[in-house]
Amino acid sequence: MTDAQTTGKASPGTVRLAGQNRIRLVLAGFALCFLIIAGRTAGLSVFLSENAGVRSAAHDNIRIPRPDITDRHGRILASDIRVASLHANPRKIIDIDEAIEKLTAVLPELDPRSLRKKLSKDKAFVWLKREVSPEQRLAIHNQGIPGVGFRNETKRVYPMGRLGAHVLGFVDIDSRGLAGIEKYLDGQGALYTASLAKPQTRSALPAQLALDARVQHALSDELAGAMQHFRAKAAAGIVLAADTGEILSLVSLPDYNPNDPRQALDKSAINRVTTGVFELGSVIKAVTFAMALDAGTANMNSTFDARFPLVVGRSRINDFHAKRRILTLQEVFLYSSNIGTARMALQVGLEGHQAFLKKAGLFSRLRTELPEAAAPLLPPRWSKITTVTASFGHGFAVQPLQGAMVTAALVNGGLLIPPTLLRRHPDTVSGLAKRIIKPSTSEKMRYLFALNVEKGTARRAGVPGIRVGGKTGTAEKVINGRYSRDHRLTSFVGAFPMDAPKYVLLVMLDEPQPLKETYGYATSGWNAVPVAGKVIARIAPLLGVEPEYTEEEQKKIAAARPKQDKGN
Amino acid sequence: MLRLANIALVLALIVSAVFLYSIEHKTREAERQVASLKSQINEERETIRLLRAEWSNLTRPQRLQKLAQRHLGLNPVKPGQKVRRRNLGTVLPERPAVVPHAADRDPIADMLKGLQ
Repeated sequence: MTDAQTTGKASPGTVRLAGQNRIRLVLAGFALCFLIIAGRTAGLSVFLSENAGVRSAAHDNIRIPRPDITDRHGRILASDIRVASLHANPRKIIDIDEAIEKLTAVLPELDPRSLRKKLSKDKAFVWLKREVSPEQRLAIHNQGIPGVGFRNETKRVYPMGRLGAHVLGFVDIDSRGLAGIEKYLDGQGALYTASLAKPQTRSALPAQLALDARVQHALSDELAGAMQHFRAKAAAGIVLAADTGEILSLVSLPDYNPNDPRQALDKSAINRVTTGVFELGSVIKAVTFAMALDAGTANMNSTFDARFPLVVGRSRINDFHAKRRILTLQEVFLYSSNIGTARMALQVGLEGHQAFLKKAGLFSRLRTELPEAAAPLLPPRWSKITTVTASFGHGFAVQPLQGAMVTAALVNGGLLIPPTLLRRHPDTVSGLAKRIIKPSTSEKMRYLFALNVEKGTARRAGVPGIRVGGKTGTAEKVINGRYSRDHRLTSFVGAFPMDAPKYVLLVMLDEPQPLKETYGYATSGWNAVPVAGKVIARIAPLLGVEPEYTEEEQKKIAAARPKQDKGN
Repeated sequence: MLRLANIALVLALIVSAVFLYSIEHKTREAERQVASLKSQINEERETIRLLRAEWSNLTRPQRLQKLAQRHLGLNPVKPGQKVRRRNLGTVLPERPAVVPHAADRDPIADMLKGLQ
């Protein structure tokens, strides 16, 4: 009883207690559920944005576009634009005749018969026309033809046309680079391309070239004029920044329009600056001079016997401007004496000569960003006669760009800097440069180059107000295994302003013809050199080279001025 | 007491449901706006690209040279046409000597007199 009582008394309390516990349990369970839901909701709302971003990017599935290509001042040389292409679903077309009539009204270039054939097929997709202009697109859209639609495609365009074609290269219909920088961006330079990409905005920074569109145009314009004037087969030119190795301009004519890549298939449209190798002729003499001066086997007062042709084995080396006397070092340079240069090389010796040419990078294939690079043509054995001919640039052929690179080294204080087509920061140059001659030797070379323009074979390259220095070259081309007297390759390589050269210019003409006003001559001094003079006169103001007139030049200018005023 | 709590809870539920739906509606609206703005931005970017390419095409040096020669009579800069500032004195024509006005004369008064 007492038990029952106690239990009876206590039971409501315990029952109540038990009931409360159950309610608490249920409450706790619900609370937990809601907490989980709340937590999950909070989590979703916080991380939603990121997830959504990933999803939308995956959904859009547009790859990062090909970077634009600009010149060194940001002018666009290559860009992607969006174009619409017209396609149709023949199964959905109700009235073929009406569709054909409407389409040909907007696109008269479409052939009705082939259009009918395409639209009659039992297919779900046919291209009707790639690359439709925005106006035509709108017109077709407004016609409301069922089963006809547009698809956006990107198209690579080269707004400047032919300008810099050999540098830029071109792409195929699927925007894959096939030549030039375009190929570099896909292949070797893929790392560089990736560094330009900005995945967040699905865009890319432009690839900035070292090229200057204005200089490129000036050089190409002058070369085209010269090619026509001298009826040359081809022409090429380079402007190189002497202290950074940046290629400001690279022209090879005939060229092509990268917007129509089929033109590039023409054999004459190869890039002569890097894809072709040529015997540069006397331009290489400067290398021999630098070598001898640097090695100390010759100094500025040395003399060389050029009274008689140099006989090596069965070969006789003669001079073009034969003086038949003992020449000083300067005269050897000014008269471009083969005999003198050969003697100079022989004094250095066969091994020294080879070692220096190797050091100057003339024995190896020069690689720039351009995928097209030719290896030099070297003699199989190096003998005494090889050294003799190589001293004046015969018997071995290199890319013209290599000639420009070495000349830059000769005048810039002795640093061989690998040339580049991409913009290069001046601070990075010291890590790439290689010293090939002493600064003092470079100074002597500058003197010789300048003297040659003042009173040597390169006189016609002189430009009032600008100190130009340079060396001419006339090489006879090898036709059917023999040197031909009528097929010449004339060249000029020079630098300006000569006190502290900033730019190196190389001009090359392939088979220029003798003219009346050149008195029947077709050597470099009569064609390549005056062209180089014109180019320098035109690009120096563009490059910010300040003119400094001598008194004589000032008088000349002053004399020319009133005439101009009268004309106006 | 319990009923009061229930009523309060139901009310809270209704309020929060309305609030939730209004927020969701706003979110959808904002999302639509974002999407349309994004596509608009893309559209504008494309247009900018196109216009930049066109600008580059219209200002290509070959074309400018032709136009300048035909319509403006301009030619590339020749040597001698550019002079350093400190050498300007050597190329400028002699300046005509400046005649200072006499202090006691008033040029405007002279002009007025001339008009009368």
